[in-house]
Amino acid sequence: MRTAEIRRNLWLELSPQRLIALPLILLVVVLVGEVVSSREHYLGEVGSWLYYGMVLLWGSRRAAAAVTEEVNGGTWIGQRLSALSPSALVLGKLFGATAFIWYGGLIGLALYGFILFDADLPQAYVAAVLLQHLAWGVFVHCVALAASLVLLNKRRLVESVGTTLPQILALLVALAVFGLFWRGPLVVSLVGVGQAISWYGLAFDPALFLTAVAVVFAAWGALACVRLMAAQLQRQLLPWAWPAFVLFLIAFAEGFVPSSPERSVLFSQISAISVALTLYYLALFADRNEPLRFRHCIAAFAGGRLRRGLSLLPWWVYGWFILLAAALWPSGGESAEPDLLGRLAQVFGLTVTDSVLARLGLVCFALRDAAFVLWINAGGRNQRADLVALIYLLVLYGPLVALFIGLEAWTVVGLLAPLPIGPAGLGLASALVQTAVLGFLTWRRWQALFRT
Amino acid sequence: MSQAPLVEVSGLTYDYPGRRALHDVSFVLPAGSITALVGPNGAGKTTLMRCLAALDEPLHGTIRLMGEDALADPPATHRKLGYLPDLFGLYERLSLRRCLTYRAWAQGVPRAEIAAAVAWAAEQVGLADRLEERAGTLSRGLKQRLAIGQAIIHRPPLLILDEPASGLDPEARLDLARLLRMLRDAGMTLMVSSHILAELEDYSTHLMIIDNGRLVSFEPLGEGWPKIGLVEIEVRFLPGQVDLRARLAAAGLATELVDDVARLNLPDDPAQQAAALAALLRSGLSVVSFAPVRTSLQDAYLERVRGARQ
Repeated sequence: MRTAEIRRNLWLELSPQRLIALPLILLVVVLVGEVVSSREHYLGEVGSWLYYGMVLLWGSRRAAAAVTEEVNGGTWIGQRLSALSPSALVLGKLFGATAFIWYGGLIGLALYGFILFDADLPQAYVAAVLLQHLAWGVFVHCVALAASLVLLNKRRLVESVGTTLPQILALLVALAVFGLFWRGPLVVSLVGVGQAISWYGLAFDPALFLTAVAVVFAAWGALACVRLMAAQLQRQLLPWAWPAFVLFLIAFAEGFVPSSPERSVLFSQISAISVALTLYYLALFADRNEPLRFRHCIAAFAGGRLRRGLSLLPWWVYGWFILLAAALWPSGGESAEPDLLGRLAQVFGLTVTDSVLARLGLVCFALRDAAFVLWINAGGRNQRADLVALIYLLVLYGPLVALFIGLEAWTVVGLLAPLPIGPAGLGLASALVQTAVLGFLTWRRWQALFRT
Repeated sequence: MSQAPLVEVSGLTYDYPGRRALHDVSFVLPAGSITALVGPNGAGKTTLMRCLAALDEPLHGTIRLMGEDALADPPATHRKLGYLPDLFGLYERLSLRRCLTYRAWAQGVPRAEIAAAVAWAAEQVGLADRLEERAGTLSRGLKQRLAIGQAIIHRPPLLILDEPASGLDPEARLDLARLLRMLRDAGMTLMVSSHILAELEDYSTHLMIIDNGRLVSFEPLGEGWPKIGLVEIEVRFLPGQVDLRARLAAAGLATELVDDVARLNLPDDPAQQAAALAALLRSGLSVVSFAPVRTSLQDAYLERVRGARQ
């Protein structure tokens, strides 16, 4: 039964007492505010803040807890053994575990909507703004749920999983998204007048555009939850979703690149490489890198189980190939204009001799970092191996590189980090050698670990 | 009892980082059996059970449940089994009826059969009169019963229970043994892990010993093992009894005899044990003591594990 999970959550979340008490409490808060405030649109502001307070702050916690409470309460295995589909479980957790939050949030949104309609705004516009609020709420809940599933996946040998970390991650993503789309629902408010948004050279109404963006991102979030849940339910999945998301995000970001020919190469590379690189490192630290996973993966390929082997390959492997493609496109080799890395080199007053080799160096340094993460993970039973590796890499790319830059030891910097300085190909060669050495050491550690 | 294989395991190997949890484990589980899975802590019992339940995928090996590859389609496998982990949880704020109803929904029981399934499971585990109580108000033993009720609500052919008796008081353990026998009689095949060998004697038909990830033995409880339902009694006679062996045979008591000490396998029934003692006395034998000895299953278990380690 597809509604089993949502009905169980409704049993737990919605009691007559809660259903009666919440509106009464909210009514008292609004009335007190109405008396003490002299602001014209006070009620609408209260409504929107009430919505975001409940849906973002409380809702993100409930969405994350929908999984972590099951794990910590010992009921998660029962769910993994159930005949419920991943989508039924996700639906139940997204809208069932947060049912009470949505109940309060929708009261706030209704207040906000009432003021918008009262302001004689076009109905289509008001509907779009309200839909945008709902979609961002769903998106944040999806991120919280997905983060808890990622955490559970990474800590699969640990008995308990916390709720706070996935909630914080969800709120950080929400802040980042609202920061990027600053014309979002908090700003596109009563007046609704703003500049058109230019995307691939086309002008869009901000409210409608952001509503569409919110709905699409919420859909990606829901897909991520379903895929992560499916993995928890031992479903063997072909790995199309992550590469598709990376490509989507690159294409989405490309739409904002100014069309002026002088700036297109630089900005295209900024958007494509930076998106691919960001998602590559996100995948590297979000996915499981423990040796056992690779042992299973290798065994699956060796046993001719291609689907199983592909499903066990980490997301960052697919992300790396996309990063490689992004680094090689557009080549920019024939353009006199400096590319992304060239601009970076100019900051230090240096000249890049070969931008293609420099970009390939960047891609190979990313691979070197993955090899480093695997090597740390292969070092024992450390549950926090990824965190340890992250700290080492932050020290490398932060204080250490800064130190050598301060000493003007450019060759050393080029050997350690993907900065386009020093002799042509030096960075690329250095990254390849380091990757090979770390790969060999990781292999040795794996062999020692599984010698029986 | 049917002895057709329900579960066929071949070459099962499972690794944790730096440790092999299962080494090439193979066995066939007959339908209608209750297999006691025993072994020291860390032997691999829980790992084996989780693999059988298709919760974890082994590195190598195959598991066939009712002829189908259990690892190829875990959701299909889950519909054919019930699994109760060592550390289980319940939705404590829900009533028993809702706990069972949710589980029936989640296991795909058809809508029209939900109420009947809830009533059947509650009846099986002896909770039919508590359906409106909250799960959180139950005692540990009753929670265990509810958890088993949830695991069997879709009437799976295979039921896997990991340490179901841990934390139960003696009375609850007896109830559990009775329940497991009843489930076997209802057509289920059970695999039960436990540290407490004495309780396993009450209901097991097979004993599987696993140590350090290796299958030490898997045998029906019969030849070479103490008979289920029998108690071993040690009888000490006054030294110097004439024709002791012949007089015991004449009294109808087949026994092992070493010097002046005999060991009798008698039914676990006080009346029959009293009758045996009376027969000894009628034969004119001077009995110094007549007492049950330590659980022989435990002795035999230790003997096999030590033998395997050597």
